[in-house]
Amino acid sequence: MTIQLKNISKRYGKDISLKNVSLTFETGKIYGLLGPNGSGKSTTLKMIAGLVYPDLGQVEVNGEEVTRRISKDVAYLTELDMFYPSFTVGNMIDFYASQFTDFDRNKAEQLMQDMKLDSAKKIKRLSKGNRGRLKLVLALARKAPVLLLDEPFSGLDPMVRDSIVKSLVSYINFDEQTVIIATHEIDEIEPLLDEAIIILNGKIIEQENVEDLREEAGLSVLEWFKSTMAEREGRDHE
Amino acid sequence: MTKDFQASKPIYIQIADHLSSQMVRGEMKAGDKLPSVREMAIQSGVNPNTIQRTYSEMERMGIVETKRGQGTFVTENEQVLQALKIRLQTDIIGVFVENMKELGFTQEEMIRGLQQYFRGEQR
Amino acid sequence: MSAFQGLLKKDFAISKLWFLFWLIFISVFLIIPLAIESYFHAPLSFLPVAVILLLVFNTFLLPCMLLSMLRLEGKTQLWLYNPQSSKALILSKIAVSFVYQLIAQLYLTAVGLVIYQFYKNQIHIEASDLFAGAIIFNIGLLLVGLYVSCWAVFYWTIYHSLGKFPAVKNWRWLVILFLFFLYNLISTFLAKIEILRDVIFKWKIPVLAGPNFNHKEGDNWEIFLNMTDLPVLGLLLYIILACGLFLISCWLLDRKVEV
Repeated sequence: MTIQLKNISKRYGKDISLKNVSLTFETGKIYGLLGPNGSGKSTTLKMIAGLVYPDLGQVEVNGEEVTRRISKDVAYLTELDMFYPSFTVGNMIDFYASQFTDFDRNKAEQLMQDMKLDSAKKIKRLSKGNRGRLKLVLALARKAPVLLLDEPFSGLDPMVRDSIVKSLVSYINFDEQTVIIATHEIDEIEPLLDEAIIILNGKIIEQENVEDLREEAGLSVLEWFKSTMAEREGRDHE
Repeated sequence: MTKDFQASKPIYIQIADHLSSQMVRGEMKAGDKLPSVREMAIQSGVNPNTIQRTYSEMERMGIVETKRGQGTFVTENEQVLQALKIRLQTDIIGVFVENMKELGFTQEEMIRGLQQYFRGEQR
Repeated sequence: MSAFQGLLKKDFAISKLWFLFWLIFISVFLIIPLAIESYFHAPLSFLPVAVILLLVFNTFLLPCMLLSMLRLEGKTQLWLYNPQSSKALILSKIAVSFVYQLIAQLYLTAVGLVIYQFYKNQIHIEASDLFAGAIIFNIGLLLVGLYVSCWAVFYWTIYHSLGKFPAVKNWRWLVILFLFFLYNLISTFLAKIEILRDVIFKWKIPVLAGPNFNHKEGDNWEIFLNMTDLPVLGLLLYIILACGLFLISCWLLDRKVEV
């Protein structure tokens, strides 16, 4: 499904969260939404998930204006803790399966095995890393046309990040899903990305095809990101 | 294989290089089936679109052939594989010569150096 | 499992512990007067009062349960990441709270009837009066509980809708207080208009709802129920108001409350 953000602006009081942002995301591609903390990455994803509304502009998924109900087509992994304290892992899977018609239980079982999660365990007893994995299970077990991942690596130690990247490759449906990953940990996801977008202070400042970047500029995404940020800072100091 | 990609070279080319050297070493022989795009993507932790591009590029170069509904195979054309071997050799020699030149060695010195090196190794 | 069943199950799971606490609290609240009574050999001095008090408290069980569930969800508001309608999301919570209140009331009513069995000769009440009174009283409490809940949901959604405006964020509760007083002001003002009162009280239905307690000599009680007239239009007005509040809350939840 194509996602379109048209001239989006959003502010919280005096803080500008997004400023005239226009973006198009196409089916079958993986996008990296890169930027420092507080740059507007999370707000952008929440907006696509219909959990935050723009002050100006429009968000459309598949040509339809986004509301909260779009969650039927949008699988969303949040950076927040999203669990009910009394739930077990299995309760949470059951709850998701009942709410989202595209939730695939077999896929969930497979993912839980891969991530070594025990369905009888209480969520409040899980380590931060395991809670992160559970979030991934919940997001990846859905056959939703849009997959949004907000900081999928936060709280996970580098050892497991590699295996998470592999699960992402194994479980994302590259032909049919539109995937957006918001992160400031670029190194891990770099080989996954088709397109990289840099967002800073609520503005989209660069967008590049990852392979073109290597071919033409001879830069990895990380190097490109660093040099772009340094350039910006230099400009700001002048 | 994950994450040891160089920054300055497109990933699809780096994977093609990796596969080519496997063929030259004989780890993959003429007519062998390559992993599917998806398998390869999972093995290397890379976007399948990238692997698709690798395979297309290698097909364009004639190193692999895609048979409809069966997958991608190493070419059975020994000439092409031979040429690939020579190309890889030339590439490595090219880098070597370039580095030596930067250090100021002449062509004769390089050859003499190589000969001495191999004699030393035999001893 | 249907989506709504899933919601019910979730809402039950997140609130069952509080309900258990309430049941324990009720029981303690009943045992203490019982103990005092038997200690002072003064039967029927505290216990009936305790039962009635608890039943009245119970009116607030429904909205309180509802609010505590909403408070839990409001921490992140991620419950809104759900394809079901806002009506389904809120209704599921109201339904679970309603069942809690029903169970608690049945429990207290049963306790009341047990007390009655023990002190039959001291309490004089017609069996039919007792039966009708208990049912009407319970239905009344449930209805009031539902009505108050609609207000609770309404204030809650207003409060959280204002959350995205940093200018008012810290003064949100003032807005709620203002709304509360405004509504009361308007309703008392309307109640003073005579024509309106005449219209509202034009159609009435008699309901057995006015209990009379007479303390007689020898620690005997005589209880009988009076007919009270309930204005149909007034009742209807409250139902419409409750539905209106519910629908406004759903609308706000869909459009104004953000994660």
